[in-house]
Amino acid sequence: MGWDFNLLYNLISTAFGWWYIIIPAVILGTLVGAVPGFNAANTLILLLPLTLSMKIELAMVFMASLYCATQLGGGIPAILVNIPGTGGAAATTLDGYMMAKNGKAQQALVCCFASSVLGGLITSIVVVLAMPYLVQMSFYIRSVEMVVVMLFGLTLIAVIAAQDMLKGLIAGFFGLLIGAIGADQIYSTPRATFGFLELYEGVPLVPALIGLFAISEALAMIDKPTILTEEGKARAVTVRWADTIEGLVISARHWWLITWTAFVGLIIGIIPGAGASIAAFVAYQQTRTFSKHPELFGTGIPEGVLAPESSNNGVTSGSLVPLMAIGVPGGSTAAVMMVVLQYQGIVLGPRLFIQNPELAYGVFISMVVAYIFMIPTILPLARYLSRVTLIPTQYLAPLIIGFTTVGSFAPREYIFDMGLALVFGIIGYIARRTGYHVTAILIGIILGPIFERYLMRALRISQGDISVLFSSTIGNVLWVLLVLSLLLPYLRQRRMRKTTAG
Amino acid sequence: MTADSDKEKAKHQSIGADLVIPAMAVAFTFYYFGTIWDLGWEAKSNGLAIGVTLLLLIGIFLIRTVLQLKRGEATLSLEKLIKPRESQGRRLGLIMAIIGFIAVLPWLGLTLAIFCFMCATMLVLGVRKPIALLATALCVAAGAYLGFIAILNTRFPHGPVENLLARIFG
Repeated sequence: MGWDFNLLYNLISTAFGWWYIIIPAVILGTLVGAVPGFNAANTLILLLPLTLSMKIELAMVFMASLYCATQLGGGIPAILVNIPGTGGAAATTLDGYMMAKNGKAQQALVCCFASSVLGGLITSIVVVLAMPYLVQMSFYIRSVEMVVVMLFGLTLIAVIAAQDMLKGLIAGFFGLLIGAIGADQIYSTPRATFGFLELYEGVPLVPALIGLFAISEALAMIDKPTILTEEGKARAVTVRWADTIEGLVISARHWWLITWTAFVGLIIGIIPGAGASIAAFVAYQQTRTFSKHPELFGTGIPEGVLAPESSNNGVTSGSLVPLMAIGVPGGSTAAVMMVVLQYQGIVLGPRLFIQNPELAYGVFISMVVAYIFMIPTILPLARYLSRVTLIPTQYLAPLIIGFTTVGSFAPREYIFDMGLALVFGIIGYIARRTGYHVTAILIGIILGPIFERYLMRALRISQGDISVLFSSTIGNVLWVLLVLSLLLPYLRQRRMRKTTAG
Repeated sequence: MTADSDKEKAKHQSIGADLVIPAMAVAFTFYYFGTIWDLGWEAKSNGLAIGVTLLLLIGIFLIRTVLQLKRGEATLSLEKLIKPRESQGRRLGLIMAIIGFIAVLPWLGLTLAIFCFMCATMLVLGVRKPIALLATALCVAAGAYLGFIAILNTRFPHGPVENLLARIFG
C-alpha cells in the first residue's frame, strides 16, 4: 500500500486546527479518568446528545481525544491515594502509590504523564502507518486463544503477588468466582445472586473497584496521621520544579521500556475484549521479569509506573483498530464510538479506508495531536497535584469515602451499589491486612464474565470437548508462556536462596 | 538484639487472620455450587471449573498452614486484623457512618446526607476544629450537589436541600 503524503500532511494540519475541540476534550478526559466511577465510555454516553449533533469528523476527534486523556487521568488517583481511576490504572498503584508514600509523588506523576503521552504517541503513529497489517492480527485470535489469554492474565496476578504466590492465586480465583455471579449466558438463570435482582447482570465493576481500592484504603490509612512515611514527609513538603524535571529525566532514560510496553498495549488492545487492565499487568509483569532488580518492584520504583501507564495508553489506539477496520469494537468506549459512527451512516470496514480516508486515518492522527497537546496541558499539574499526599488522613479518609461511595451510584443509579461498595471495602480491608492482593481480586472480577463468554464459545464449538483448548498453535504457545510465567519466578527464587545459602 | 527479635517474630507468625479470606471463599464457593447444581452444563461448567480450582488452592494453603503450626512457626492469633487496637473504634465508626449514610440517603437527599456523613466521619477521626469541619463538609456537599445533581442530573434521591434549591433556581 502506498502512502499519500499530501493526505497525511492535510490530516495533521487539520487536526492541529481543531485545538479548540481537542484541548477541552483532554481536560475533561483527564478529570473523568481521575474520578473512580467515571470512564470514557460512560462519559461519552452522557455526551451522546452533543456528539451526535456534531459533524462526524469533529465528533470523532472529540471522542478519541477524551478517550486518550481518560487513560492518563486514571493514573493520578492511583499514584496519589492508591485508587485507580480506571481498571487500566490498577497496576500503577503497585509502585506509583509507594513512590507517593516515599515523598516522590511529583516524580511518579511526571513518569505517569510522560509514559502515557509517549506510549500513546508511539502507538498512534504506528497504527497510522501499519493499519492494514495490524488488522490481520484480530483475525487470528479466536475464543480458544482468548481463554488462554485470560488464564495468562490470572497467572500474572499470582506472579505479581509473588511474596506469596498461593495467596495471589486464591485471591485471583476468588475474584474470578465473584465475577461469575449473575445470570448465565445461555439460559439466563441466576447464579449466586443472594436473591438480589441488582446482581442478575453480574457484579458491577465500579462498586467493586471503589470498595476494594478506595474504601479499603481509607479504612487502612487511618492508623497513621498522613499516608506518607517519615522520610517521605520531609521530601514531600518541599515541592520543586526540579522534581518535575527529575521525572522527565527518569522517563527519558527509560525510553526503550516505554516503547516496548506501549507495543504490548497496542497488541493486546487490538484483541477485542482484552482491554487496558490486562495490558497494564502484562507490561508490569514482563518488565519485572526482565528487570535487573525484580525484587525492587512494589517498593516504589519508576519502572513500575512507566510500564503499565505506557501500556494502557497503547491499548487506546489498539482498541480502535478492529473498530475502524472490521467494525468490531475493541472495548466499551469503542462501542460508543461505533454508535455515533453508525448514527451518521458510516459503514465501518476496509472500504472506509478507501472511500473516506480523511475520517479513517483522521481519528488516529487526532490521537497523535491530542497526545502532543497533553504535554503542555497536563505536565505542569504534577507539582500541584502531589500536594494531595500531605492532607491529614482524618480529612482524606472521609473525602475519599464520601466521593467514591457517591461515585459508585453514578453508573447504574442504584443505592444498592453503594452498599455493595462497602461490602467490597470490608473484603478489601481484610485482604490488604492479610496479604491477599486486592488487585488480584479486582482483576479476577474483571476477567470473570469475559472468561466465561470465551470458554462457553470454545466449548460449544467443540460440543463440550475440553481438549479444544489445546487445539490451536497460538493457544499452545500461550499455554507454554503461561506455565513459564508461573515457574520462572519460583525457579529464580530457589536459585537466589541457593546462592545465599552457598 | 534486633536480629534476635526479628527471628523470634518470624518464628511465631500470627496466621489466624490469613484464614479469613479462604474461609469466605470456601463459603461462597459452596453457596455458588448450591445455586448451579441443577442447571445445564453450559451454565455450570465455568463456575465448577473455577470453584474446584479455588478449593484445591485453599486445600494446599490449609496444608501449608497446618505444617507451619505443627513446626511451631506460627500461631492462630488474629493480630493482623485487630492491631493497632486504638484504631479499631475509629474504623468501626467509619463503617457505621457509611451504613448510616446509605440508610438515610433516601430521606435526607444527597446534599444533606453527605454533609452529615462528612461531619460524622471527621468527628469520629478526631477533627475538633468546628470551622475546618463545617467548611470541609460544606464544600463536599456543594461539590456533590453541583456535580451529581445540577450538572450530571443523576437520579440521586432529592431531599429538603435539593427541593429548596430547585424552587429557588427553578
